[in-house]
Amino acid sequence: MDKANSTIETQAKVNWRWRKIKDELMMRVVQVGGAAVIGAIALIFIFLLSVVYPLFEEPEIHESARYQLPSTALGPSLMLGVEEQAEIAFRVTKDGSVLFFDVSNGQSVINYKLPISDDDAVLGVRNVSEASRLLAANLKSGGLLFFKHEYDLEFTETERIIHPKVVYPFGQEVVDLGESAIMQFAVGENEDNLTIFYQNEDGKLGLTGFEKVSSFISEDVVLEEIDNSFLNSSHEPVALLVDPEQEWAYVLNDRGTLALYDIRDIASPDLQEVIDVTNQSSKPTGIEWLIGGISVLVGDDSGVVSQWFKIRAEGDVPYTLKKIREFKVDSSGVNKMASEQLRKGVVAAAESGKVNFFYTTSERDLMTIAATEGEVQHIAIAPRSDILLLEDSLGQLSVWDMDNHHPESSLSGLWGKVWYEDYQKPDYIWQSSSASSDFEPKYSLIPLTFGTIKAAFYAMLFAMPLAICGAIFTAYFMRPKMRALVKPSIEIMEALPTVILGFLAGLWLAPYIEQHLPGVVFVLIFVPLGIILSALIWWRLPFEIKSKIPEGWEAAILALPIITIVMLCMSASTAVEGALFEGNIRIWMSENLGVGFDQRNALIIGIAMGFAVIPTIFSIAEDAIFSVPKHLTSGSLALGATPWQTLVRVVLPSASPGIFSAVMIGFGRAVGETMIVLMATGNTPVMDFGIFEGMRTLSANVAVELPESEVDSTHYRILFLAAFVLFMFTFFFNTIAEIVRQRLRRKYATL
Amino acid sequence: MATTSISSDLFENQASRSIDQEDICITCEDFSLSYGTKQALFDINLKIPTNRATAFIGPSGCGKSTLLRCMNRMNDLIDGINISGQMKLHGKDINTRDVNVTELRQQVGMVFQKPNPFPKSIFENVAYGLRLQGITNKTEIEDRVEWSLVNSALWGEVGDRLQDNAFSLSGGQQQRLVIARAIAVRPQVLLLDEPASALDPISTLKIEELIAELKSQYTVVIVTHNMQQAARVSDYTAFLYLGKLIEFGPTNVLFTAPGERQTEDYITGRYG
Ligand SMILES: Nc1ncnc2c1ncn2[C@@H]1O[C@H](COP(=O)(O)OP(=O)(O)OP(=O)(O)O)[C@@H](O)[C@H]1O
Ligand SMILES: [Mg+2]
Repeated sequence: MDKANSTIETQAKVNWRWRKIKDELMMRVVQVGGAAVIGAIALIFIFLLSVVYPLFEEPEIHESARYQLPSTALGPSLMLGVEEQAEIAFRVTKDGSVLFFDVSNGQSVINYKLPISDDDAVLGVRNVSEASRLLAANLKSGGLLFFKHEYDLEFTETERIIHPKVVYPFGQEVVDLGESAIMQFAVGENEDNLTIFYQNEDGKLGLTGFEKVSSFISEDVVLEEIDNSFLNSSHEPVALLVDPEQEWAYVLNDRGTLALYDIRDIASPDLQEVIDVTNQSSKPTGIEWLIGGISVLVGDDSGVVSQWFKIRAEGDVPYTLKKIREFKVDSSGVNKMASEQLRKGVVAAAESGKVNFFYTTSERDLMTIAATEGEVQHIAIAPRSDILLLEDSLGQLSVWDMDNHHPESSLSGLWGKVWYEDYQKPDYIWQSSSASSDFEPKYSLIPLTFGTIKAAFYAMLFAMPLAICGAIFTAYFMRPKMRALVKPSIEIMEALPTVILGFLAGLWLAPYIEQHLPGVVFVLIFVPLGIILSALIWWRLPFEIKSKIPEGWEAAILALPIITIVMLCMSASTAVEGALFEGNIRIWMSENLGVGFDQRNALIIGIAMGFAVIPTIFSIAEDAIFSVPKHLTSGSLALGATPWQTLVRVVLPSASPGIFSAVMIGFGRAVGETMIVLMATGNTPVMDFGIFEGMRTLSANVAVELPESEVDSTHYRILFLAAFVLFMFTFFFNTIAEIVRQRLRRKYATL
Repeated sequence: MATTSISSDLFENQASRSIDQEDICITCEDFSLSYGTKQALFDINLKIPTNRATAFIGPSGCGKSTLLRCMNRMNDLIDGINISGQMKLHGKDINTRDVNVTELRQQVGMVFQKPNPFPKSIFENVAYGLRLQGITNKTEIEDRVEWSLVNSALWGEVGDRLQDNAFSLSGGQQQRLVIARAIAVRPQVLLLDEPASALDPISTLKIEELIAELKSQYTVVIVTHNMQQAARVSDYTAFLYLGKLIEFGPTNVLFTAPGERQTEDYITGRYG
């Protein structure tokens, strides 16, 4: 007896230990699983942030070398430039020397001499086109000499050697512009033409147009004069500009006015506008193109750099110059400006020696350095914007390394209105790429966020009433047998790949609705009316007919009137369109109501994405309603409440947090949904809330653009930012849903 | 017969009378019910007198709750129910089509085994049935709520915290609240399905006192497993067994001199 007892006891002990081990094991597994999920989400979060972070990082700049100008004896530079690798720089001096030197230490690499006579001198050199490295020099003896700085690359086994050279694209001949020397000039150049705008010693403003003609025998290009004319200017010009297309010429006067000439006809330039471009008392110190030849930067002696471009005018002149934005450099006055070659950044030096780097479109004041001992004479920015060269009045050259990768992005640029070049007013625009090479990407997240919310809104507009009413009916009124059929079928819809929904919506539904628009509008109006009417008829129906239909299956009968109404509406569609809307409702709408129509519009999205979120909302809401304890409903019914009263007073209030959380989760899903919006919206980032207009959502945008964006570029990082915003959206909605659900659970734990 | 364990002093305050002298409230005539193919009630013939407390006793699964639920048609909610025979309230069959179920349930209130207050305030729980009837007059609602709570012996405990959530009450208080909720609509009949089964002896006592109180104004039908309780509170007792009504009569008679062997076995605890 004792023995038996003790074996049972040991057996129990073993069992108990086993149970404990299993318990522990399960607990650990669950804990690890939970922690892994949280960890994974945290990692996604951290990863997104780590890609996005550099967008808002402060740029860095530091001096890497400082040396005396090479060949100091030849005097200060007339022009300072750097080649693309930022290894070799050059300067042009008064005697016509083009001196190439090593950027890192100032050691001379090679010297060239422009083909000018010994008693002649170069008065000034200007950049004609930074992209083609074309320069123009005005000579003391009169006329301009065009030349290019070019670089041959040689690869040895161990290194790359750069061989600079000077070439003369239009021959070594000086372009003749009359007897007297040129004091100021500007050159506009494109593939076919070249226009020189100048002021000569006599103070006259001249304009000469050339055509580029390639000779048959050699490959050489020569300039052939087409036309010329002279302009009158009452004030002393400070600087001249001609745009690359040679349509507009700008003259900055010492009085602080900027005159805009229409020079499409070179023979008769037409003064468009004279406008004050400086603040009252200050004087202009210079103008410079912002890359692209659309914006003009004006510096003045109060230290302000302002950006101007022309917009279409209201009055009798077609265009007017408009100040877009301005930057304060230093109160000592702007001395020199240079703009980046590939971006819209600007470096401006003040008299005090302070140098300021800012970015126009993002309005970011990036960095300020106290750069030089003397005044800055020349600024050269390497094409890749990684090196900055400054020459000061003491003949010193300083080299600065820049770490400035994403100046284009700023919070105001991403979330605020930005006034882009060639736009009439500031606006929210997303346009990340274009066919044209000097295109400026526009990264406003507002149209995408707007599109996301619009798509989700229309989807919810369609899905919410259907899903919630369906859930109420299924959970509360439907007979168990029918419920057992309906609930799983709707939930299985959730498993439908959204790509199929998107595909159907884009390729079948969108054209179908376009063809049957009046019918669709009728369906939206008449189906609800029809449902109410059928309910009234049902109520009046004699009992004999009613009793034939099993209780709880009344809803199935409703399918009949709905299908009939839909079919009637659709078949009437074409006739109505012909009779009332002149055969085409889309044209009629845009003419009479001013409502645009995209084939792939918010209505399509509402329906297609609505279908995708209905199962989610339905399933959660149905569970919430069904799990309202039965003793509550019977308690209410036992007090003489009708089923409807019970629903409204007891069931819905108790299930409302669950329904709310269902809606939130549905909304989160609609916000994050990608395939449907990608395939059925047209993806145009417009900001129009109209039901017949398209949209572009954050998710579709990431899907479309990420594969073709360059890794680590601003575009790439902004797409990650879009993904991050999306993540936060869904995180937000799901968190709200979860918090509400937890509340609900706590509330009903006591029931 | 002295075989019963119920001492006769329990019946002291119950006047011995015969069912034929009573005013009849609910009548069952050959009433049968089946859940699908499973028959739960067999040809029940029963008369429940007005303004008396009638107890249903019987072993678990014998059909007490089923019969009780038929009296205000709560069984309508269950799928696949078949009934035959008649269930009459004041002589009128309640299962005909022209009977308005909600009106019936206003006349025949029901309290369930498990307290089921709504997730609302104490006040709103009691006012619920009144609001359903469309009563909006504030003072009238307040008066009726107070009256119900006083009559359900709860006023003293909750009168000063009517806006508290009903879940903050104890189980016994909740059950009395549910009774208050039921009497607030002034039903004629109050059906109580094991109202005290989940309660401690003190709460049970309070409920029993309440029933004794209520039966002067209401016809009370109570299902109970507690013989003492049935003996204490009811004037008449029905004993059901396997879906059949075995015996029905004045409580003191049924407990002291049961007419059937099965009744005697059950009340003396030989089975059940
Ligand atoms: N909803 C239902 N569906 C099918 N059968 C049911 C249902 N409710 C009760 N029954 C059956 O009917 C019979 C009577 O049940 P009922 O609930 O009336 O018993 P009861 O006397 O109240 O028992 P208890 O004392 O345990 O509450 C039981 O056999 C039960 O299985
Ligand atoms: Mg029961």
